[in-house]
Amino acid sequence: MAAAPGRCVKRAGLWLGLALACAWSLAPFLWQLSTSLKPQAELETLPPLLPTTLTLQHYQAIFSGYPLLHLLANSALVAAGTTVLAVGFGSLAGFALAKLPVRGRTGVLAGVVVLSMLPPIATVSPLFLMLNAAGLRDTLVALILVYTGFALPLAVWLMTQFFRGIPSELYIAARVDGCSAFGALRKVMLPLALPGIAATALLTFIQSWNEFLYALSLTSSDAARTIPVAIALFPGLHEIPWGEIAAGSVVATLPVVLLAVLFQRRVLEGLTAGAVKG
Amino acid sequence: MARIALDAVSKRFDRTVVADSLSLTIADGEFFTFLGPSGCGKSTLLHMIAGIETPDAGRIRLGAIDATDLPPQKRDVAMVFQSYALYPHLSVAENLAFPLRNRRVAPDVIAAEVRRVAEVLGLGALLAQPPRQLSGGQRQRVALGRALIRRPAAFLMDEPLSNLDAALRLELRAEIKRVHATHGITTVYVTHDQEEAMVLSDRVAVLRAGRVQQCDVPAAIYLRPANVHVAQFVGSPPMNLLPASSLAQHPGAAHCLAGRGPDGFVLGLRPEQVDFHADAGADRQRAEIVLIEPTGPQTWVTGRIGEHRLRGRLATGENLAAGAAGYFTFARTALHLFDGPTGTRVES
Repeated sequence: MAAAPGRCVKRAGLWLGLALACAWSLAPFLWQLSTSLKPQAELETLPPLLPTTLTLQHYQAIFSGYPLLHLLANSALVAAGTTVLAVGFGSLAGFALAKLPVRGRTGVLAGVVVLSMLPPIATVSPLFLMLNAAGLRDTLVALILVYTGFALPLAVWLMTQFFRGIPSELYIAARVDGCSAFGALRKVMLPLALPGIAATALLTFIQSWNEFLYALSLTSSDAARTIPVAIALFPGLHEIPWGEIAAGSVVATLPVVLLAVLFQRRVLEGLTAGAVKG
Repeated sequence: MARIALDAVSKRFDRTVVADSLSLTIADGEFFTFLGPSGCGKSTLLHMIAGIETPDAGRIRLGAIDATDLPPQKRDVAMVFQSYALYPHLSVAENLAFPLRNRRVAPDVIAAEVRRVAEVLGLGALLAQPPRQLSGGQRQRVALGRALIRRPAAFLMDEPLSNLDAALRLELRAEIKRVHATHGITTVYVTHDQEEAMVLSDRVAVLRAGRVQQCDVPAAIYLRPANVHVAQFVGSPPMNLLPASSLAQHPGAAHCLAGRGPDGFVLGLRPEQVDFHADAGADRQRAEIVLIEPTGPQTWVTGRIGEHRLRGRLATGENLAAGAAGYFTFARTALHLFDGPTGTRVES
């Protein structure tokens, strides 16, 4: 009996902590959401209280004033292209590093970690010059290539860990049962690494979708501009359209939130199922 | 079906020697066992035969072909693992069909073969289930079936019974023996369990530190161990090894030494050939009883002679207690003589 109140306090503390963490993460987003639905007149009142009336005027304004669908499509193409390339090459490299006799495996993995620590700002101007020379400035291809380069270290690292978690006997069994190394990867290892692939894809997609620095530096028109950059360019010469920026941010955030919610289930389910030895 | 020949095969990982210029030939249709303590590199030998690892030196022949540089999928061997290694994302039927699918066998033939193997191993009711819903014994049956289905040139079995509990182990051991008897496929079996090796094998190779200590039929390995390592590893409880001087009074020992001085020799005595009595008698030597271990069918008695220990059986109808004095006896033919410094057998 003596333990019960103590446990209650512990529980309450846990919930309080979780609530604080949620509030901390959600507050900016909720503020954006409320701003995007406020009438123009209430935008600059402080503190930012709940709107008295809800309006969709900012949403109408961004969809009529900007090529928003085109910009969203750009973002989606870049993020999807990056995800496919990074997960594809990341799986191949991760499989080789985890299961094949690779000379200098530790060196390669250490190199991958070092590469992932390069500050992006240091590479902006050389990359700009290179892509310019290659005639790729202001193209989606340029963004996909650069993002893939920056996403690969994480993808290789994650996929190596996931493949390591699959018992080597399964790879050996597949080889003895008639598969080539690549066949064993395709028929046995990849299906079993699916949760890992989902997790890696999700992280890569969100990272590319949100990227700002390169998207700003390597594009110069709506042809290849992505949504975060486009929103940053909303402010005109004389005013900052807070309502439209907020509405744009909500529109830009929703797809990733949806994706995360959908995939999170799959990722978690897969992780726990994979933990039990087959 | 095929003969398997290892020709001066060497392999090492960093400082661990797995195979040290190892040569042996496994006959077509033979049940051959590599027996050795855990971590002595037996599995790596199988991996080299399967083509998963390449030897540092030496050749491996499967049937008439030199397979040393062939990839695993071209070697026509099948493997059974301690961890079963069933594909968790495939059903039992798909697991069984997997090796045939990779060889592009026609779907109706695959279906017929899956049914045949499922019937042989009693898996008919489980075909649609995923491996995770099966018991350990059922999983290993599926693994056996997956190896059996394509009638390979050779079976490679890597401690297939070690993850099973005692009763299932006996059941599947019999199953493996039956499968070998009916199909006659060359089988290379790896185990650290000497009893499994004795029960199943046509021939056994006892391994230690990358070298074959002895390679012979099970009876010969039990009756005439080539050195002290084999003597202690094969047989349960392990053979007693004593300096020849400690048994020098026994007439059997003198006969065994045949005029040689006892110094520098080791005598071996299997516990099942030593009888402990409560009373002194002719040819009985005294020992202080330190441990009594009843197992049901018989009772093991450990006695102390000077600073050495000797295990034997409690003779039928006798009664002994720890702390008392006991008197042991053995037939002179039960003695094994080994050279002390090298540990090799000396024929007396």
